[in-house]
Amino acid sequence: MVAEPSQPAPNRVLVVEDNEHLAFMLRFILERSGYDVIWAPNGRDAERAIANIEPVSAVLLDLMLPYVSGYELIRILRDDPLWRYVPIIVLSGKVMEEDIVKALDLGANDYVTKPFRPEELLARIRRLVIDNERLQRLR
Amino acid sequence: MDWLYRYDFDTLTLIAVWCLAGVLVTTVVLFFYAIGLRTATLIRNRRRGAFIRRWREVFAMAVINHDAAAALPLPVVHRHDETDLLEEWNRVRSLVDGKAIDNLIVLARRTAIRKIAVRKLHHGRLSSRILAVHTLGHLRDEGFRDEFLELVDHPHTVLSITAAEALIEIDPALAGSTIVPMLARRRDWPRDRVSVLLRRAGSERISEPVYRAIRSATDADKAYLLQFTRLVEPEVLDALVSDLLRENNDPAVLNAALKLVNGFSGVPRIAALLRHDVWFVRMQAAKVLGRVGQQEHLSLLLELVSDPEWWVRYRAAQSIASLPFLGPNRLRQIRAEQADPYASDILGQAYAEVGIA
Repeated sequence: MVAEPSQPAPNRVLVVEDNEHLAFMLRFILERSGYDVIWAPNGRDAERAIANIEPVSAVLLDLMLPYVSGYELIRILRDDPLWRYVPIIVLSGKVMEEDIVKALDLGANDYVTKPFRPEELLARIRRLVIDNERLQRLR
Repeated sequence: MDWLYRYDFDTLTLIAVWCLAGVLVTTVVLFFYAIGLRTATLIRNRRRGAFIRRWREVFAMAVINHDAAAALPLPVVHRHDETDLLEEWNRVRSLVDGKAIDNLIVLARRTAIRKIAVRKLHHGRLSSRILAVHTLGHLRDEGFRDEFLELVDHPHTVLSITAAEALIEIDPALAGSTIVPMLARRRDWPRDRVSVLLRRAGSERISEPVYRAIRSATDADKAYLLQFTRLVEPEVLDALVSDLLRENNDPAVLNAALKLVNGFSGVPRIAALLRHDVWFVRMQAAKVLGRVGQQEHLSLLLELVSDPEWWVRYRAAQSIASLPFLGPNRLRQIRAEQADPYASDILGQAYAEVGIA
């Protein structure tokens, strides 16, 4: 049985990023913009977070991660009845067309390449969160 | 030590006892030395950690806020913190793009970052010079353009590629006029760094220079340079590949050029390469015809499923199976018509891969 999608926790973003410096930067930027941030430094911790916490407003995800890859996490998120509607933004150094297509085909909502523009990233997250909230209300 | 002489030790025993005493003393000294070193490292790391944490917040704030970059109170930088400051600033600078870079440069101008980098560039060890070049490039400091143009030719790989990257930051147009023409002779440069460097310069700046560099290169250099053509504009790439396939007969160049075929131009020449003497050229040509082949190429591909080289047979069979104008029944008929058991086997394998029994 597929569970009803639950209302995401307000303004909460799961950041899955193994680069500690970038994770700090993302956390700082997101927190300054009013989001609560949960940081998973590798794919395994992200998998645990998905299993143990309430769905968040958005997931910001690197592709090259220790233990469980970003692609695999997208698959896990899209197969999870509670998390399947959570917007996923991939933030990756992979710039090849096939990598971007693969991530979007698997279910990512957006793809941002590194190095990134902080304001643009925030705008994309904001847009996806608002759109998703509207969709949730319609469902 | 008088007690030693009360006993009737012979000389050897005496030496052994002195050696033992020496070893014990040395061990104790080394033990305390190691503890001292460890303590010093811990203190240093703690101090560095605190320094980096303070600056990291300042940099992060500057990244998102131009006013903060221009007005934030800045932590004190001691001489022993200078390398950490440069490394951290460069690290943050590499993570972001757009307005955030301008903000970081504004912030850097308020600190001693440029002054430290200039000192390290002219008086430092090699690692410090590399960090300095990296920093001045990230600062887009026009004043070092000529100096970096000289450093690009430096025999040290890391220093020279870092200078090339710095030049691209300072003036992206230099990618075409300076960096691309030297790629063939700087094969020591890591390919991924070269690719990133060319990407940062932008395909509109490098397309024509890459075309010219490849056309004028030796066959050995052509094959090497062709790996950087994925960043070239599609129309320039098509023209380059057509020219190379038409004019060249070097197997390595043909192989590299065939891998880049993307359209239907030059198909007759590609078909002719199915009969090339070197097997990997035949294989690549067969692979390309799987994407762009027409009805008239079927007979040529069918000749290759009996090729003595397994890879040629395999790619030819895969190409036949992927030709859009052949349906499953026609494919089965083609296989049934094969007298050569190798041809039949390889076609069977290729068909199975696409779900045709």
